[in-house]
Amino acid sequence: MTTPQDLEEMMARIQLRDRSAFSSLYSATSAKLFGVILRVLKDRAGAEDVLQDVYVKIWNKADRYRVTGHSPMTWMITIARNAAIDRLRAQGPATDDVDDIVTLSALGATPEQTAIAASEAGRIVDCLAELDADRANAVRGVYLEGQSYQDMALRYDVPLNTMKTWLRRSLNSLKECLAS
Amino acid sequence: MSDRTDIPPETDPLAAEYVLGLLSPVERTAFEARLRAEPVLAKEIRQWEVYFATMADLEVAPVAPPARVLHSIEAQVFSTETTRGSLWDRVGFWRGLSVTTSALAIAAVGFAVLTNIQLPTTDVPETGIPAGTLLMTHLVPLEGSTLGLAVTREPSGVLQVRRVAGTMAADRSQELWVIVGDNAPVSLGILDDDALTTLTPDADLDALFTVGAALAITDEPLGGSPTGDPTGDVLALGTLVAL
Repeated sequence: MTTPQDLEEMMARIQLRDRSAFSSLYSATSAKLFGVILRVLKDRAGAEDVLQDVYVKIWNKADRYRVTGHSPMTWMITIARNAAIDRLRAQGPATDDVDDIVTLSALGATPEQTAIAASEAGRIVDCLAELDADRANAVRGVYLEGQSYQDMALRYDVPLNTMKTWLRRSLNSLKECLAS
Repeated sequence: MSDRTDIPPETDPLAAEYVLGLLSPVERTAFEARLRAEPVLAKEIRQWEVYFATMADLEVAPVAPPARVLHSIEAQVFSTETTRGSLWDRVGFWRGLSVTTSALAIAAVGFAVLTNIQLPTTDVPETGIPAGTLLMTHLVPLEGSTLGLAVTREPSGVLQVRRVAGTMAADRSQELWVIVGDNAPVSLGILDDDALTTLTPDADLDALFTVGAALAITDEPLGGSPTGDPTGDVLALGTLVAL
């Protein structure tokens, strides 16, 4: 069982270009990232390409990881999900990487802040369960399948603005539940 | 954006929509402009990233990728580098270790009192330090060690090496080295069993102490390296910064 501390140490060693640490990180995390990418793309060949790009990025950007204030798993899943969505929307605008956003905001989280967020992060699942199933699945559909407001309006057969209002209210309900 | 009027501004879930990639290009640009002025939005973005990534972590089943993916990745990331070599063969890389490693080391050894110190980000002179400058580093544990050390060089040249985590094996020695640029490591001496080791390098050695120089601890036979060069694992590593 790989603990978050193990992953932190692997990241520290990868920063020093330690190849065995990179192999360990791949063994410990690639099945989860591949699962996430496959869920987005539903295409094995494409998912393999994206998985490869994601680990090359992890190796090359290891020194940027800590400024995001995220745990290694959050950092890697965010990179994997965004890379898969970018592939899905090959013509659309690129989804920003988490470290680009941090650069943009010129503000890093302290490890303490991240620890608090991580310990409570699992509540997202409980809070999704408190939403109507349709609404929770819509949120999952956006994050894990890259659906746009247009896609969802078609799927649920409602006007676009109705769909936007509906999802924003779902996000606000989630936010309230997570903050309580 | 007339279609946003149904949501009061204070509860508008823009950060969540931003993370999900739902904003239109116009909304996105406007939101990024606000990000610079409103740090609370950056915090919201990070929190949504944690929540959504955790949702994926908990709800998406892992799928083992085929072995060929790892082979392709290794061919790509390792192709431009030497095919073998220990950390010691890559000392040139150590100069690149700077703020990130220092910040990491501070976190690793839990030196709460030091976390508010602003580490310099760019000003790394090639040689020489102004008189009266205090140099310090926190050595980050490596090679599976639990060793954490804080090293300070006082303006007088006296070196204080404080062990804040980990211990010494009874039948081994821990040796301190300084590495400048691509040069070979130079021994500064053996650490005491006690938590605090005080060393006074001679003038030649002291001249090696510059901002950006690397310090390292290796595991060595009792009494130190028999060859004059490091022979054992690198247990901890850090880069000197000026305070």
